[in-house]
This record gives sequence, structure tokens and C-alpha cells, in this order.
Amino acid sequence: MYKKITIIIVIILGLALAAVFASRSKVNNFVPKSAKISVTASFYPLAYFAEQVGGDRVSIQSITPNGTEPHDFEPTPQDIITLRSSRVFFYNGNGVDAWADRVQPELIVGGVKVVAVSDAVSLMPTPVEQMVDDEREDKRIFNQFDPHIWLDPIRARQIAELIRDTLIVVDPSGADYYRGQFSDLSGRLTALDTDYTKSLASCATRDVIVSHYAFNYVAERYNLKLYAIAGMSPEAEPSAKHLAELTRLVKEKNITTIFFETLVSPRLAETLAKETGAVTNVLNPIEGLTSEDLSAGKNYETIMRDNLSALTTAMLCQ
Amino acid sequence: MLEFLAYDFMQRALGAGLVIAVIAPMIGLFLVVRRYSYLADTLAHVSLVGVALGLIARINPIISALGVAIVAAWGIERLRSSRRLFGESVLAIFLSGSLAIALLLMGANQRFNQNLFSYLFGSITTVTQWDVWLIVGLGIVALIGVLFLYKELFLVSLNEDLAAAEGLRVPALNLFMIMLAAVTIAVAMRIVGVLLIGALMVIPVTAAMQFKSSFKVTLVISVLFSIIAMVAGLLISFYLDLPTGATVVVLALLELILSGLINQTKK
Repeated sequence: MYKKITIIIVIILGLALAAVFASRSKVNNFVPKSAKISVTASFYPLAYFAEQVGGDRVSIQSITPNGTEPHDFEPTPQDIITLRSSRVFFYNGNGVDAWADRVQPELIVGGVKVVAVSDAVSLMPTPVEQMVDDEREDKRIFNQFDPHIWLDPIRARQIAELIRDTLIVVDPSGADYYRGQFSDLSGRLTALDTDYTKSLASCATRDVIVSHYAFNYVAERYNLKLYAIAGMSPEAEPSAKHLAELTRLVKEKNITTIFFETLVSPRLAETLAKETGAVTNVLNPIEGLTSEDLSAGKNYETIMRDNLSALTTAMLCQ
Repeated sequence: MLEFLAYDFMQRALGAGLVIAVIAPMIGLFLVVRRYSYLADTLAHVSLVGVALGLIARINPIISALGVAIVAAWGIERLRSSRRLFGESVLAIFLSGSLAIALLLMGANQRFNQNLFSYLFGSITTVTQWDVWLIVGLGIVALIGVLFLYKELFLVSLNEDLAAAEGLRVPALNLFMIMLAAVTIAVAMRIVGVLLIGALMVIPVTAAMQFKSSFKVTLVISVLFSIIAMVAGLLISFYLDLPTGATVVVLALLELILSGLINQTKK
């Protein structure tokens, strides 16, 4: 009997050993070979800003993979290793990348410079007044601040500024390079802001229905009035009562378009559109790129412009 | 090969995993021999209600899950021993009923979507040091519980009437055992996830039973099997980037199949 048990144990442990050796080469790859500064970011927009500012001097890895909703993401052990082996880790905070709050003590101990980009901008509280009644009762459990800061070009510039300053601290010899890269990006973001302001200046309506409250900073800066089908988290299901209220709203205010997001099923937006005769369109909260976005060569800036043109159409702007 | 121990989160996962690997089959054996395997799964679903409550009240979900699982364990045992309902009906009611309640609680609080998955399927990367101490502490409680009352639990599991005739307080012992199961589940939840705890309590035990030895030897073999599956599972999931709970359970399943095959050819 003991022989049999030993056989089984040897087989199982053999499998484990095989797994270890099978992944040997893979594990070694995590040690960056180049002289570049290795930078990790919790999800796409931060990785994009860091890439723009860091340019050739850094190698960027976004931990949340493409096409994944960052709200739902949990890092795998390999992700933690990637994080640990990086020099700097940028994360957003306030619930979008909740896992980052949990892993960051360990990263700090491991000598990684951990930067919450939310520190660079003024935050708005999570909008309670826009919730329907049954959501309002639960407001204490929501994150206190709205995390979707990257969708506002001005705040995006402030984030990029913090990234620049962080990179200069980590890699002082590249200071001039980072300043130059930043001022390019900063110029483009300012232009983006100007275009938003102009295009959304005179419109037939200022009411916009989105799938979740990702666009509050945009709404505040460019004076839009938002209504969300779901609440703060993109995949939460709205109650039937809430959907009925939204239907009434769409009809009352003659809203033309129901927006949905790329990383989330358009099911609810379609239900509402069918109910009211409105059309659906994409308003991308840029929490991550899909593989289609990538192959179409899209990035943060092009999508911000796509969003703008979708908004001008929906709001009947001149 | 030991480089995975260089990471704090893997040390924590290994520590917590070993505690789970020791106590899960110990409690599981008593459940299996009395044809009560589904209790583990039921209590696991019940503890999801506790997780939801813990997230709402902002207390450690392991603690709230333990509280809810113990209350439910008491309720299940009361209903079962009253014999007004069939034992398995009670389990089915608690299993799906508590899942419904947990979904309602989570549905009312949208923020939980992101956390739900880590409790359903387990997550080793975000286990905190505090979780580990809690797991170790509760594990020791369960271990001492079993060792102290081993003989009594053994008798009750094999034959309740005989145990009663021997003068044992059967209802109290039943309750004690089912509560130990609740503790085990609260402990294992963070690593292997609610949906897979049952497997960890039942599969290594069933594998050990293929050797048709005494109760005590079966207990030792099942603990051994579960430790091996846990350690190998952590290693494989770490190096091949696979979900940990599922890897451990599949390895345990493999042990069961191998045990079955090896002991069949003998005749």
C-alpha cells in the first residue's frame, strides 16, 4: 500500500516539477534585459500616458490585459512578479483598479516606486444626486471619489505631469527628454480640450445617457447632464424600475442616442433604445483597448476624438 | 525551484494553503463516511452570504462568513435532526437559498462585482498577512477540536444509535462537527474559492478510501494527498499562470483516479 501511495505522490510532484521546468525560460524573461526603465501601469490610459512621456527611455507594461474590464481584474502571480520587477508602478486608485490598493504594500517593500495618479488631480465625489432612489441609500458603500479622471483632457495633462516628475526622480539623466516628451503630449491634450470646448459649445440638448457613470469629469468640464443606465460599476444590472425611469426620461427630453461601452455588452443600451426609438452608439470610457481597437491603430487620443464626434452627433451640436 | 518562495504573497499562499490542506480532509472524512459530503458545498454557498455582509459592513469577510456559516450549520443540524425534512432537502434548500440571498445582497451593492470573483474562485495574490493569521488561528482551533474529540466524532459518524447507546451526547457532537466544517470553509474560502471548497474536503478523502484501510490510516493518507495536491497545485498554478483553486482540485481528482486504478488492478 505504501508503495502505491508513493507512486501517486511521485506522479503528482513530477507534474509540478515538469511545470516548473516548462516555465523556466518564461520566468527568466521577467528580468528586463535592456537598460530601459521598466514601468508598470495598472491599466491602459495610464500606460498610454507613461508611454508618451517616457518614450524610448522606458518599457511600459499595462497589467490589466487588453479587452479586460479593469473593475473585474485580479492579478495573477505572474502579474505580481512583473510588478515587483518594475521600477515604477502607476495606478489610478478609487476603485477602478482596486487590486492595486491590495498589492501595493508588498511592492513598496520590494523597492518599487508606487504612484497613485489620482494624487495629481482634484477629485469629484461620486455623484450621489445622479443616482436613482434605491441607489442613493447605498451610497456609503461606493467609493468616495469618482475614479474616471483620465477622460478629462485637463486632468489627463495633470496625470502626465505627475508621470513626468516621477520618471525624472527615477531617471534624472533623462530629465530633459521627459520634459520634451511631456510638452508634446501636453500640447496635444490642450488641443483636445479646445476641440471639446468648441464642438460642445452650442448643442440642441445637454442630456446624455451613458451606460455607467464614467463621464462625470467630462460632463463637469463641458457642461453635460448625464444619466447612467447602470451605476458606477459597468456590469451592474439596473433594476426594472430604473430602466422604466430612464425610458420616461428619454421620451421627455427627446434624447436621440443611448450610449454603451466597448468592454461591456450593449444589451441594456439596446433594450432602452428599442423601448424609446433612440439609436445606440459607443462612448468609450477608455478603460482598456480591445484587440479590434489595437489592430485599427486606435489609442487614447483617437478614441477621445471618436467620443467627441459621437457626443456632437447625439447632442445635435452645430 | 524555490524561487516562488521569494515572493511574500506566495509564502502567504503556501502557509494558508498548508493549513487548509491539513484540516479540510480531516473534517471531510467525517462528512464522507456519514454520506454528508454535500454539507461542505452547502456551507460554502452559505458563507457567500457572509462574504456579502462582510463587504457591506466593512469587516473582514472571513469573519462574517464564519459567523453566517456557523449559524447556518446550527440551522441545518436542527432541521436535519428534527427529521421533519430529509437531510438532503435541507442541504439543497440552504445551498440555493443562500446563493439567492448572496446574489441579492451583492446585486444591491454594485461595487462588489469585482470582489465576488475572488471569493467564488479564490485568489492567492491578494491574500493579506492578516488573512493568513486568521486562517492559521482558525485552522489550529479546528485541528485541536478534531484531535480532542476524535474518538467521539468517529463513533457518531459511523453509527449514531450506537454512539447514543454508548452514552455520547450525539446532538452536541453532530453540531460540533458541522461547526468545524463551517470553520474549515471560512478558512479555505480565500484561497480555493467558495465553489471548490467542497472538492477539497471530499476528493482527497475519497482517494484515500480506495486503499480500504482503517479509519485512522485513511485519515493520514487523505491529509497526505491533500497536502501534495495543494503544494503541487500552488507550484503549477504559479509557474503556468493557472487559477490556483482549480489546479489544486484537478490534481486531487487525478490522485483519486490513480488511487482507483492502482487498487483495481490488484484483485
